[in-house]
Amino acid sequence: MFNSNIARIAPVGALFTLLVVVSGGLVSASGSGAACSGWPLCSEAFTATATPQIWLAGSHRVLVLLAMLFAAVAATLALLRPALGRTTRVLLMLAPIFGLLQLGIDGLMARLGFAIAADLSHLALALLMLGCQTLAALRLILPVANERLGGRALRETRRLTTLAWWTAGAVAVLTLALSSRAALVPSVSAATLLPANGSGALAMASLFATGTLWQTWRTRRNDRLLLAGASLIVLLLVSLAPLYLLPNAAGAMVGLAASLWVATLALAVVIQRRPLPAHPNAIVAPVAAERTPSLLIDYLSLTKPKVISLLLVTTASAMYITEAGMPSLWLVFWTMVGGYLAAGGAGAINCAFDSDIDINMGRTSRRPVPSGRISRRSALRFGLALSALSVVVLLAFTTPLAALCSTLGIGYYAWLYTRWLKRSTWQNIIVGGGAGAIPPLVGWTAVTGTLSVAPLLLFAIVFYWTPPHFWALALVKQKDYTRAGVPMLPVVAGEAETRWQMLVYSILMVALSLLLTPIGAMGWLYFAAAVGFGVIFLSYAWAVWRRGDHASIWGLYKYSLLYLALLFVAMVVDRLT
Amino acid sequence: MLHHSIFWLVALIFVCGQALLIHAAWRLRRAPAPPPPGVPQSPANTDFAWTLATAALTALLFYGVYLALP
Repeated sequence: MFNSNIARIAPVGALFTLLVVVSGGLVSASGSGAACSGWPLCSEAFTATATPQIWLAGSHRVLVLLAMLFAAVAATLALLRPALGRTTRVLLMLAPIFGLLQLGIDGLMARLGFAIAADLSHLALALLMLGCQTLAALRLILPVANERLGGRALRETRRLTTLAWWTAGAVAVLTLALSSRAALVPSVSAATLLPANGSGALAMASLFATGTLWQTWRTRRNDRLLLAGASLIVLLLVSLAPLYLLPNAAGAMVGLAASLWVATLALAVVIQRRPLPAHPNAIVAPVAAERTPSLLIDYLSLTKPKVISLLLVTTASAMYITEAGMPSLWLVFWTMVGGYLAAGGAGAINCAFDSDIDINMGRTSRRPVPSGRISRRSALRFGLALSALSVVVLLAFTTPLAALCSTLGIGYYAWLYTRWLKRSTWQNIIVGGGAGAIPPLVGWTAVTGTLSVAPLLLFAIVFYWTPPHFWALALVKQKDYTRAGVPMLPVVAGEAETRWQMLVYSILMVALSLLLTPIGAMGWLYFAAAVGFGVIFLSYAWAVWRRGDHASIWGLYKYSLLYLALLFVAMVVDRLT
Repeated sequence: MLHHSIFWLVALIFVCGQALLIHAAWRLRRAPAPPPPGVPQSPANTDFAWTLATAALTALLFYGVYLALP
């Protein structure tokens, strides 16, 4: 009884909130808000001569009242019905809170004189309220698909769901961006602070919607409802484009975009809740693993682009924190190109030398060299060519010292680490970590042409970061390393010794990261960030030492990647502020 | 004053941490566990030397930091 009542009330509430947004767009575009002198009542509706503006503003307020009423009733019913499902209840209870917040913030901003900012928060909170009601209503109407998905089906469904949620997010940004066009003075609207203007947000949303349609076609083409829904969203987005050219349609476009937001949210929930078609070939895309990557992809993978991305973050960040000030964009560009070529070259040489190890490890056995798609000789030549090119680029466009540091880094990684340390000592990752610590030196010297204590501290931070990061991976992949005959610390000294040393190295790394402030290279903003990020790192390292389970180790591994990037970004932020 | 305090605090942590790592390397040098079949035995003396070298180079960096203090 309760459920059926809520299932009826929630959609009606969502409909009223949608009407509030639609009417709000029209009120904003027509300037009808000024027709009413009071709030929440519009006494002019009864006393003054009836004009379209007064009717529009008055109707908007009546709709707000009705929407709040339905939201409050649904929230009360949700409060009384614990068996409803936690997420649904929370969504229903959040809706009126967003509504009240909207009213409160509007009043506060008007009182503080921030009326321009209120136009964005007003619509954003209305959209949040609408989103909560829509999601709750759909969760009440659509039953959960009671089926267990296999690995591939689960992966494809997750991909489709992610795309659908990204589409919904992009449409929300689009709605907010369009609100600036509906404002009477668009240039002073708070929506101009958004990362994209109306046309950019429209392009972004169309891109995500097309991706969703494509993924639906690939994996659920037998589900007509889903396919029709995804197609409709793309069509509606495309139809918004000509309307965008009409200034008079600005108010209506906000309402249309909000309706589209409801549709995208609905599609995301439907994807999650509708069972997969019973047809055995429902997922019709060919198996990705059976495809042979193209030669270009293979050569690109030899450069280990995922690893390089983090190295380039440290290189670029180092360039922005030197005492020489802001580098030119061209210098940054060429240093990045040279850095990629150097790290990619060293990675390709590593792939050539390590093919006998890689073939024995699950993580690396599908690389182009161990799987026989590229010969060792070709990989080695490719690596050497990239390395030589990197020296030329860095010499030509940066400084000789940057080129020297980069060349030392290539030799360090490709020969000292790969050929010797990795295969002979449990210190391989500790000493070999120096290779990964060179990129900040390259970035720094590319700008200044000299070395000082500050870049050496950057080197030390990455150097001491390496053992906890790679030992976490080694703990998880211990069997692989044993099979491949690599004397990683967990293999030769056991897990307990490794976990304990990880904690010690983590403490040393966090301590070293604090030294940039005392020497004046960084300010207190960075210091606070280094302490905060470091404490989180240490809590992960502590968990690894105390518990040593898979979850804590994997958690440290993933956070360590984020930590290094955040730390270097914090340096740049500190320097820029 | 605050800068110096932070430096000496970090230096203290460094000394304690390196002492623990050197002790661990010494322990592993004295009683190395037999590696699994197919995994090479790590050269104990070289391992210990690497640990000392790392500590010495980082200590040198600390000296540089000390000189750079305002």
